[in-house]
Amino acid sequence: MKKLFRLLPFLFLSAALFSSCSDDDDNELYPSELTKGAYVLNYGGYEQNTSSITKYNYEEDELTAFYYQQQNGGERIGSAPQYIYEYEDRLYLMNNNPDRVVVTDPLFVAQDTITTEIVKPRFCVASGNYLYISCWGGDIWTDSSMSYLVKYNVVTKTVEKKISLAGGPEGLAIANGKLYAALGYAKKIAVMNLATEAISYITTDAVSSYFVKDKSDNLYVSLVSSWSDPSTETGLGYINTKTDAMTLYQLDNVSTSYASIMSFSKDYTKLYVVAAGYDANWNLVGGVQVFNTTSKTYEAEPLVTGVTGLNGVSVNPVDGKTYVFVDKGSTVNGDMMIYTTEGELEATKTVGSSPAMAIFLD
Amino acid sequence: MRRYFLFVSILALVSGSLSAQPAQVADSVLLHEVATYAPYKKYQAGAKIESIPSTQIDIVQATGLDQLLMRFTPIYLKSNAGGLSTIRIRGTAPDHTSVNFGGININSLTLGHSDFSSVPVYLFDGFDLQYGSSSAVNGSGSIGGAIHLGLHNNWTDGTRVQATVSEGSFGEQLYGTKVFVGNGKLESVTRLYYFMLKNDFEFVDPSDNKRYTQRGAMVENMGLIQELNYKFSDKKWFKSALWFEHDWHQIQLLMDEVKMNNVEPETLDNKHVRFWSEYENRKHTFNYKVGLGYVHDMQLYNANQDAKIGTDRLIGELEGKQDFGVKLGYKAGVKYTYLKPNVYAYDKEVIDYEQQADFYLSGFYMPGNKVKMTLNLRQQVVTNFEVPFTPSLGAEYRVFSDEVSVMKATGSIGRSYRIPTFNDRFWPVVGNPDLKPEDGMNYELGLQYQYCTEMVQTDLKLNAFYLDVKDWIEWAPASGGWEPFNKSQVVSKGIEMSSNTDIFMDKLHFNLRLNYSFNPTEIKDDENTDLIGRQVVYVPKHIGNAFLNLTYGNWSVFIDGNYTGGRLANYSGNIFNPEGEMLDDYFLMNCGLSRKLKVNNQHFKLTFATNNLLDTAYYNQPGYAMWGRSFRFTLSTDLNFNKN
Repeated sequence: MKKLFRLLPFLFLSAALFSSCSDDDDNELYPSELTKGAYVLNYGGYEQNTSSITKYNYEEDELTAFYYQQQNGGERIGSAPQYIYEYEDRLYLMNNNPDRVVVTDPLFVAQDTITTEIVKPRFCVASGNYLYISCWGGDIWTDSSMSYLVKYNVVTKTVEKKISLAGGPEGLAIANGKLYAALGYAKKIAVMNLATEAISYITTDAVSSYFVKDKSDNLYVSLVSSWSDPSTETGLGYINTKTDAMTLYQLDNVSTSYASIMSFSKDYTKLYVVAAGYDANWNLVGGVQVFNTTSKTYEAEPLVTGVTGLNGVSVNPVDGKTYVFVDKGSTVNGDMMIYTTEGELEATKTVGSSPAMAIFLD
Repeated sequence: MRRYFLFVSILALVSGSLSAQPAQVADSVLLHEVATYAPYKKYQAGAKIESIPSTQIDIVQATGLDQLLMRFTPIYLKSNAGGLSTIRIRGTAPDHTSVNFGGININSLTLGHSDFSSVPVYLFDGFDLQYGSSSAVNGSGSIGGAIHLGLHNNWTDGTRVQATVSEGSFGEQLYGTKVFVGNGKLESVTRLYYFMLKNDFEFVDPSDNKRYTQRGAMVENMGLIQELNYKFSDKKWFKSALWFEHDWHQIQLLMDEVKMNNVEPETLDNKHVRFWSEYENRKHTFNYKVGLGYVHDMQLYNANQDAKIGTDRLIGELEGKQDFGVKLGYKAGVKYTYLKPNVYAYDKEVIDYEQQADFYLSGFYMPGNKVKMTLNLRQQVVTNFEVPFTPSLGAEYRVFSDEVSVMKATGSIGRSYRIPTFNDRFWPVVGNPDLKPEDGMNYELGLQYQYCTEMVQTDLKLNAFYLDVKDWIEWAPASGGWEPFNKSQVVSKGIEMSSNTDIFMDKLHFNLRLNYSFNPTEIKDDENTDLIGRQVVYVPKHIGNAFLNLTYGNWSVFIDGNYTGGRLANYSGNIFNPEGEMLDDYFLMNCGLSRKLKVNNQHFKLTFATNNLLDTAYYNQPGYAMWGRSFRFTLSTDLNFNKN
């Protein structure tokens, strides 16, 4: 017994000494000062802390993983970003869990965080001094009335207003002085007059997810069949923003991903849409369908087909190449497949987990 | 790692110096707690089955089963501070370990696994752990291991009342009582507990090195087990146990979320009713047992009544067994289960109910005094689903024995499987009824040395295992969202060492236990070829622990430490670990002191314990804070008014 008690102080002392050792990372980070490139938003996973930004310098064919961390002294994004938006030399990241909008400079160096009234932010769009942020407000699938828009003043950096908007607003677009909000939990599209903030609706036969705007200031909206609101009337809706009349160009299996599921070609003659198709054995496989914006028809041959986990599509506005994002899981790296303007697969790059979109900065 | 080896070395030194006492011849019966798992071993020669001793159960009786396993066994659990805690035995997934209460596997039918933080240690008398595959005996899901929650029968004659009050740091409270009433034949046992944990501990966030107080991690659990047992004779009895459990917890906020005022925690509410009863007759050469059970599980997320996730099960089992002397015996049985989901998302047209039937046969044979062989065969039949035939074969060979020691070599080979969960098969749109069952092969070799004198008893085990699991099911992104796939083949292999030594010197009793596991795992095949050759996430290669308990008269003091090696949290990594994020290894040390008291011939026990003595900062999931140093004070009584 005495032997043990004689040893105990050494035991405690030794343990304390060893416990004071640390494995501090001594990696030095070298922040980039070059902006030009494609920045891939890797969503990661909810509560997984695996989100990241991958920078792709397409001119030099250089890939920089964990770009956000590199630019912020090792600090991680921390929560899962739904979307990135660029407005007046600032980038806005819609981060979920914890919910916040992180504001960075064009080098992705964090400048500010918006948390006031921000609960499950989804998307944003700006006009003048205001950034409009769609928020679910909570578990939207339990009560679709809890959602809203946040009106944020980018000059005073304050949230000025919370505008109630039921139905789970997702994608937003501004056209002809109106703000359009796709609703993921109601079969209608909200239209808010920016001057009066009065809201009207366009009735649809399916819930909607995102918009893209053409050169005529008109909108294409993705209409999808969701688990809570199934529908067969899915595809692309074309909204004349002067009249708010919508024409449906039907397409089955439009992706329900919260990612960049639509993107115009560089010349706006084609609209790429992530939608699954059937292979030779009638298995549903991921693909990118092509909509001809002139003839208003879908091309017979998809740009991409047979890719499991196909999540999003973005087009480089500089060289017109199409970037297709493949999600392999929230804790494993995904792929970015680059297609030439002729539709040939040029390269496949490894990016972070659950890649969802790319933003092109110059 | 260095800290762990230092700790173990010192404990080994202490043990070695004390064990160098004169050896004396004693009966060859070890006192270690082998009695409870003997029924499991009878038909499973070569299997590694261990019981957790009551001294260790006492120490963590205020906690969930996760704390008991993480502290005293070489088993890793992925957990946070009080919320969801899932097991990874021998590198397998949480749904590869069955958790058995009587004839019921309590794992969720929708998720496939159990939350070990909500299995209360207090309610049970013992826990038996089976390492490695045992599907041939325990059915679907027992690929990595099996755990048996034990209730011991006392056949009380009189009245016995046990009560425990425990108060700990961070608002931890446990109130529990066990009331045994009987006349030697008819016995009622009532076990009741209430557990509350505010979990308002402080932590330092490594991202800014500032100190914060955890919020949004409260836990409130309560439960009741009511047993009613009747002994018709020494060879005929009826036993029943009804277990009500209500567990509620906030889903712990991440360290980043704790700092933000716009984040409120989500909640998870689980209610369970589990009932198992059996009648056993051993009066004749041919013994038989009839069992009947019922399980009701219900989970609510954020108290949303429109999103119920529930299931009901009705189980019936008939088993017969016969021994032809001590060298040959068999048992055979059939188990029928009727399963009915009550899940808000399921389509009744797709799944209204399911029926399962297990047919099994087990036997043992001892051709000589040194060899024992066992064989288990099982075929399960499931509605609209094909299940593989599952055999296992085990053997033990006594290498040598004398008056004070015995050495045995053991080995086993067995097939295992897991039926995909209800969610895997029936979740709307993405569920796949055509998934194949996971299919494993387990190979095991072991050596066991036991030494026993009046003064020293020791039990040393060395096991090596190789487990190959094909058609491992995982959910991954696909064309319709996330879908389950038979995605991977995983090989888990390793070596486990354990020792258990008791030394008796007058009023002094030492008990030293050491465990170490080396468990490399490898993804052999995967649809995502980037993962081939990688270690499975949340599986430490090295894990070990040491426990020393000294009892002197009415005083006891214990000290224990456990080392958990680095483990991969994901394959996507970060800028410092681009190949995958590693959670750092850590070493935790705990200690405590207890004193037994006798007042008016009744027994009381006071215990004071310190957990995480070194105040080590550690993480079991990225972003989630864990407890620092904490204290717990426990008062237990055992009021015995027995006639026997």
